[in-house]
Amino acid sequence: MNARPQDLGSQQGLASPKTLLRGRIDGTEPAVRHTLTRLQRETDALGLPTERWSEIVIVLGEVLNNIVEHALAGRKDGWIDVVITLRDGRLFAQTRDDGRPLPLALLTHGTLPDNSGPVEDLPEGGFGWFIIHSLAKDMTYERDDGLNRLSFNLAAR
Amino acid sequence: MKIESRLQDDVLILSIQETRIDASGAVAFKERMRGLLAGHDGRVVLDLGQVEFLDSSGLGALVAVMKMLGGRKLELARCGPVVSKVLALTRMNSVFVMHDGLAAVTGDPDQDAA
Repeated sequence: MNARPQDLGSQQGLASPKTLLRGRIDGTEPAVRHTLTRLQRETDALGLPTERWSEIVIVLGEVLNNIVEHALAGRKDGWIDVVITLRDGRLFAQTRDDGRPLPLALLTHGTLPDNSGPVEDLPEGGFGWFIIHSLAKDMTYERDDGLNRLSFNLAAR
Repeated sequence: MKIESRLQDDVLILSIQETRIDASGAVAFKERMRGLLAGHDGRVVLDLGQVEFLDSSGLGALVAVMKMLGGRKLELARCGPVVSKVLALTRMNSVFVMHDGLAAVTGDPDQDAA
């Protein structure tokens, strides 16, 4: 995981796995924003349909912001390793961070907040994991050796 | 957070001049909106035509903005693919008033060319 930004989008044939993003980012909201902008550019350059690149950017954004907010909360030195690979028409994502364990309830539940009440009772949060579980397949979480590891995949075509 | 504000036929149209409403900018967005909404008691339309990305924090901020309207519905216009997707997935598109373009809002077809 020592890859530098210039390694992104390496020139491999389309038949073999193609790495869209690989690197370590700061565990901060601005760094997440920068990473998503980069991923959007990479997926756009590959000609993925709008619907598909929208999904990976939305899901990765929710996952990374949850890591920043829950696992790395209050830390200045937090980091997240991110790898996004395109293989056989699917996008595979892996993240790794050295933060606190992620809340298991978040990882197993994707309940939509209730929006049936009056305006003043409308939910302003709790959408993130619902969005993640709606779009991502095969979400796995491992806690090992002081690290959180998440992996999931989405359709790319 | 740059937001352009204009009043047209008693409708306050606020055009977001940023490409993202996300976790990194949600607090600034709410604060800016609070200032822009002060003293206006008519319809409020958010023009999201420039917004390429909305996350769950940005969605929460839109809900918070609607709560500032004291019972009026927040109207959203020109939502792009990511914004539309997030609103549809969370079914929050039923909570806001959705417009495809600004023409339907103001009755001026030239608006959508902007």
